[in-house]
Amino acid sequence: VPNIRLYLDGKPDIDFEDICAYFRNLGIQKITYEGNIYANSSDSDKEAITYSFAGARVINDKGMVISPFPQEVVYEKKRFNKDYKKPTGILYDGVEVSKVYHKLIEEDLRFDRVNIVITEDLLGTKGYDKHYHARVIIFSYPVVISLPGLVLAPARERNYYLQRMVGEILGRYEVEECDDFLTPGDKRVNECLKGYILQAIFYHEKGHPFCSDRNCRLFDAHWQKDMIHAQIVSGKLCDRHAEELRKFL
Amino acid sequence: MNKVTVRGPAQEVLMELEIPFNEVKKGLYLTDGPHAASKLIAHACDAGVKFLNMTVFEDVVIREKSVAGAVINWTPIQALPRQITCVDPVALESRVVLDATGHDAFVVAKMEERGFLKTRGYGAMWVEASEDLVVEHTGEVYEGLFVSGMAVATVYGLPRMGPTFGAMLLSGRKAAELIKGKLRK
Repeated sequence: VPNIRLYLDGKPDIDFEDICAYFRNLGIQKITYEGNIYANSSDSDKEAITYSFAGARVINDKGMVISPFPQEVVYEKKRFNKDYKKPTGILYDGVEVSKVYHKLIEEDLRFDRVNIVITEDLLGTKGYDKHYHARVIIFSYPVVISLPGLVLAPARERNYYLQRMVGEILGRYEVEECDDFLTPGDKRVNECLKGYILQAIFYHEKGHPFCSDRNCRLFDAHWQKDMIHAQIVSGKLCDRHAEELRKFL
Repeated sequence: MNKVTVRGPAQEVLMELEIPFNEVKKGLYLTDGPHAASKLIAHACDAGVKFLNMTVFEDVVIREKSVAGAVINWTPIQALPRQITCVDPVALESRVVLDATGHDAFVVAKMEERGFLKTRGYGAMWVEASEDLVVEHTGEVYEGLFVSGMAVATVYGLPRMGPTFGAMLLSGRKAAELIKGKLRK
């Protein structure tokens, strides 16, 4: 199994020790938390990154912003401030963002390494319907996992939206933890991340990260309920993928 | 009285201006709209603001690639027949113009009409996200032209905000501080 390197963009509350311990228990010893992805960036790198992010904003289905406003550049610069907590609400093009990270850790991109960037930005890519869809994970080099994506990309149950439309559960989204779906700041995010990191490993090793078994951590969940079932209720790989992982080891 | 919701930390502005409010749930405050609006206007006047009532914005003044004022006219001329409204507009020159005209963003729209910039148009409603983003993006959009409030969402393509006014107050305050800084230069 290659060396797994975890990077962070933002200031989320993630227990990396717990994540690393989980993978060591699985037999994957080489997993390290590398810290903030911009740690070694020069000022000129940061200038270029700022413009790249400002230009990667998705405004509508037609595409991204091409010529950013000065204030957008000012806003994007704040991501280098370690104490700054970015608000959610701007959708970035996942492919463009992965290109930015690719440049940043170009020297680390080797076949014996799985580089994963965990970001606080909301990412999206165009689907077959040519509309942007929010994503949890962008399979690229490096693999990018979006924390707001965990909360917002997989849909909640249909009833949630119907009830919300009539105002029955107005406000529940932001104040309560709910069994059926993740909310911002949810403690279960850590557990879900483990499954998506496993998907990144299988993507790197096999080229195909998904499993059709709802009880497997590699299940490609489009609904929150399915994601929570695969990552928390089941919380393990199916027999076939567990065996494949053993073969990697 | 009509109620107005304000999300934290904008209650600080209500406290500062002595506008009565109560907390309806954690981080969400409720105040009487007319009372809040009256106090905001009163404090603005106390601070030296001059209102030109019954005026309509018609155009921008541009000097050396910088916004340098606004062209205004008397509101009734929009409704009266042209034959009896021979009123020329008036150009007011200033070092800074603030567009706080809501989603219409009239000043920015005029700049767009003249080809100086391109707005994105506001996005779909997302109250929680919009409030923070509107405050974050409040600032100078073109040399001499600042935007605050919902005009910010229109310019930058941010989600629209819905019936909550915390970010309106904080965006206004941030714009005022930025303008003060610019005028001191």
